[in-house]
Amino acid sequence: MPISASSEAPPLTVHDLRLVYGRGRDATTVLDVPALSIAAGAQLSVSGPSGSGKTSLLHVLTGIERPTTGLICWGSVDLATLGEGARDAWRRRNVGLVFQDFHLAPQLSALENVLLPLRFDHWRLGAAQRDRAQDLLDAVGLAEPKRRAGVLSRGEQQRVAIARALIRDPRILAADEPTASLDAENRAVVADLLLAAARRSGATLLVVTHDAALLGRLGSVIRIANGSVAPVEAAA
Amino acid sequence: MNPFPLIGAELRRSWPGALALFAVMAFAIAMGVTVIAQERALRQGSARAADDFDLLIGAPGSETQLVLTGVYLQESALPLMPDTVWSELARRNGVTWAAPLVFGDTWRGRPVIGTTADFVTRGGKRTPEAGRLFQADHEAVVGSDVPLAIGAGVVTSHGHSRDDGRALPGEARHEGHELIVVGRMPRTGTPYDRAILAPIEAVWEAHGLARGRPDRDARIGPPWPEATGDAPVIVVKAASVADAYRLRAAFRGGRTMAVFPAEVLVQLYGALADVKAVMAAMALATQALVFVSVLVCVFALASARRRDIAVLRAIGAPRAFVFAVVWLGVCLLVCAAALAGIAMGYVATAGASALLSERFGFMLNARIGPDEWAMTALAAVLGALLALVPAAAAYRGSVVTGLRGG
Ligand SMILES: Nc1ncnc2c1ncn2[C@@H]1O[C@H](COP(=O)(O)OP(=O)(O)OP(=O)(O)O)[C@@H](O)[C@H]1O
Ligand SMILES: [Mg+2]
Repeated sequence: MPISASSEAPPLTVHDLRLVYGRGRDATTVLDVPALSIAAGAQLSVSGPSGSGKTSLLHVLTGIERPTTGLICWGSVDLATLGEGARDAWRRRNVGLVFQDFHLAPQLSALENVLLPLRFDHWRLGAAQRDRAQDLLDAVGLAEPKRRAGVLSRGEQQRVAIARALIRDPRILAADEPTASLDAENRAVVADLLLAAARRSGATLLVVTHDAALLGRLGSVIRIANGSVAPVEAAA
Repeated sequence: MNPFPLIGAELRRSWPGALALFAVMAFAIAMGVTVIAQERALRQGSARAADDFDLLIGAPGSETQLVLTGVYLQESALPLMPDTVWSELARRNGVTWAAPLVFGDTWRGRPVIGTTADFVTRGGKRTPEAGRLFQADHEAVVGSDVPLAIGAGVVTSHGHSRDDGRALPGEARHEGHELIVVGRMPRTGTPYDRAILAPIEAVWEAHGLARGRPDRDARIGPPWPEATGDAPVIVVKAASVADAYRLRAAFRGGRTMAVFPAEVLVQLYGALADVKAVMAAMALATQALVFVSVLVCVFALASARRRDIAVLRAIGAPRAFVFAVVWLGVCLLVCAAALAGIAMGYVATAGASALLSERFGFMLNARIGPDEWAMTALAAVLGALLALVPAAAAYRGSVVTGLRGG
């Protein structure tokens, strides 16, 4: 199934989602989401105290982790029923992720990190693809694309991670504290970039953040406390 | 999909470990290659040296020793045959040429062999590369590796002599029986390249033995009308295979024995093959050990890379991509090691062959044959198959656990 950048983002409907770690007496419920629905192209934030399950929620919503029970329907696709490989493939086609810990390949250059998702289905990369990666790095303000990711500062790594998340023009953009390691000026740059990218392609944007400025620019807030998400209806 | 930029970067990052793995694998493969190549070089080199020796006749004793001395000029005290054997052979049909050989004298550590023109020319098939054949009993021709110019005089010694020409204690030189070098034979790649070939009459005479003709008759070579000295070996070139078998039957048992050197060599190769089997088994065990340790390293590496792999999967890498990153990385290393192993094995074989050629006196050709390629290919395929295990394991386990560093 080929991806096309212009295709609409699917709406999300979540039902009775629970993520439980451990069994029996040790079981801890990390996530409990009775209902959540996000319109296609909505831009919203996830907010809550540390350890409340924000990262877990992103993992479950993007198919990295399978919920213990419940329904996660992006359009007609229920992630909860897909196998590991199918979820990986779906994620490749639909999702751009910025991890809280960046998770760059330290041995690759910044530019190669951004190009990496394209290598999954291209043997040779064209000049246009390289230019696009370079443009993204320029947009996040990374001056030295040839430098190995392993030696970059946290703020630089964060910006490379954002460029990598955008390279495939995802229909769903999920960012876990994308501005946490940045100064005020770069926070604004990155926020602009994420919002503009999402708006341009009509992607659904989900951002975990404590950044007040960024919170203010996003539509609704998914508040999470101790794994519990109050029912939310987010419109575009 | 193209996993190579990632594989390349990974190898660059962990180059000391990768280099160590590469070196150990290459070394193990080189060992196997050397054992196989060297054994063949030895077998072929020795067989080639025996090519001109269809049938050897000697006094009863060790067949192996007869071949080792007659063909490879190994020093030994062979029992002697009386001249009646030669006369009997001279009466037989089916002999293309035959020549007696006598050993025992040396010049500066090189063997001096008394024989006839037929042996020197292999019945007329070879001619001197320079100069001419000996025509009188004070003349000699030399093998290609003997450092004597044509026209040089040679005083041979009874038994041993030193390479540098200084006298050994008790060394007896055949003074008064000086030989003049009149010709040099082309290179044969056999121990005879180091030998001085003198008329057999000259050697008999130097030892006070009958030379087959009255003293005033200066001619040399058979037929000898009178009695001659004894000889330990007679080389016979038979007219046909049937003749060779007939002659062997005729001179076998009783006062003489007759052997096909090729047959004796086959027995020796049997022993050599046992040695080779042991060494090949050792080389194989080394390879097995090496590949197991490589596998352990790859596993250790793979678990250290669990997070990397989890990240790849989290950003949507296809199963095949993740698999290729791990598997091709190891395969690349294994294939490079296999090629380097072949190269190292060739160098080692060439070195060993040069040394052994010097030691044994016959040419050893260093060559990488199909057996070596097959063994190396087998090692590479085995390595590639073993690498499937960590590659397959890379996709097991949960992405989240990998991401969270669990
Ligand atoms: N494998 C696991 N087993 C048990 N508990 C886990 C596991 N993984 C995560 N947790 C727990 O799930 C809870 C939610 O974790 P999560 O990382 O989602 O929090 P978070 O809201 O992203 O916090 P932070 O703001 O600090 O990033 C935490 O209490 C954590 O300890
Ligand atoms: Mg988190």
